[in-house]
Amino acid sequence: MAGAPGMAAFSALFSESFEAMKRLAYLLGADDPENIAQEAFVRLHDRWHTLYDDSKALPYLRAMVVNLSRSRLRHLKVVRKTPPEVMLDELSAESHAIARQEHRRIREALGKLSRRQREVLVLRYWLDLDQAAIAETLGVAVGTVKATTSHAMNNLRKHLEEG
Amino acid sequence: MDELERRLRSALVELAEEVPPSHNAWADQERRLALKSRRARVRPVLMAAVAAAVAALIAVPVVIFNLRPSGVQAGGVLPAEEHPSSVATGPASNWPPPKTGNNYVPVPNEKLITEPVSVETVTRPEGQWETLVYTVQRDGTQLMCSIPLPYGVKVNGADQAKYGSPACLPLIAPRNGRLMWFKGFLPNSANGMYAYVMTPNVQSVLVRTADNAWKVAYRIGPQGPDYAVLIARLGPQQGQPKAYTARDGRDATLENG
Repeated sequence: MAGAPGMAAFSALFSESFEAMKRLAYLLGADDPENIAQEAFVRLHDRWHTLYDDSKALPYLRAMVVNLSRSRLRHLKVVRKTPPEVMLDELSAESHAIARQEHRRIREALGKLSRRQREVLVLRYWLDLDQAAIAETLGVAVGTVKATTSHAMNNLRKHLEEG
Repeated sequence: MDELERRLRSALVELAEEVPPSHNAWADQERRLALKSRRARVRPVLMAAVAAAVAALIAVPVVIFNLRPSGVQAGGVLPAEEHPSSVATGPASNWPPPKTGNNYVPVPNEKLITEPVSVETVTRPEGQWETLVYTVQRDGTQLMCSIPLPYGVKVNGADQAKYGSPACLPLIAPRNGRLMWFKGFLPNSANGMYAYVMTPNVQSVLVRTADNAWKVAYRIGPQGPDYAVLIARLGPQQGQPKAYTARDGRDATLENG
């Protein structure tokens, strides 16, 4: 994007989607979701003029967040760090204790899934994307999305039962 | 949806809510873009400097050789005529480049106030189009106009009849210290682009949409002497916004409505 043309649309998209992209990166396991969301928008800005229309921007952004989160997780593996759960509210209220316990278990079970399985579940059940949109985001076939979703749910169920 | 799907969805929503909102995200984004832009500007300058140095390294020996006061050429053959004593400079330089002009062709009885600025792009079967927004003064009336045109086509250009007339809406000067000249959807927008025309001190407008979401209208292009145009993308299905807050460059509230 150059200068003013498209800037209004870009800034509007930023305003609409930044928080969602940041949370997507967090749910995918990245420890610096804000930085990933920011970087994804910088890259979108670079590519804006090559997008056929504004409706292509959001799918591009999602794919970028997924890719950057993968890179970050690979880096963390290399440096043998575990993403710290810095965003968690440690002062959980008693009334939310049971729900938090449940969510903690699901979070742990999600953490045991393969990267691809976790991505599919987050895109499906948090972003509510359909299979075609998930396939576009991950750069895989729709059939792969179906199979991965099924395996992911089975594994999630298994991990929860074990836990 | 089975029980596990419901639990998973609920857990993901809850987990996502744990991420605190960012308060200066747009400022950070602008800083990153500016940084990137500076790097992008420096790189071609460096490349040009290297290219110039290489060209000089090649050109200097050639020039020296051509100016050498020798009657015998490199091939050992005497020259038929004496070489000129100076190196030819070639055709006149093309610098500075010709001005490219703007996207607007002047028409009688219409004075352009703010240049056409592209606010959205739309892919049509025949190619890519953009919606241009600009303001004019016609017969003493200020107007904000918009028109979708194929890329590269000028407003009021030779083929204007083919694309129809721009949609122009009157701008009414605010009174009693108010700031707003106009607000409304661009009549020919594909993405529900909503315009605010405000006095020049307004830098952004926070918009509460019909479904209680928040959007921000940002300035487009250079401002006119009396107003600036700000645009928000509300989406094609949106109704009229419920409220707005006009803010200055320091995010201080100037006007609510």
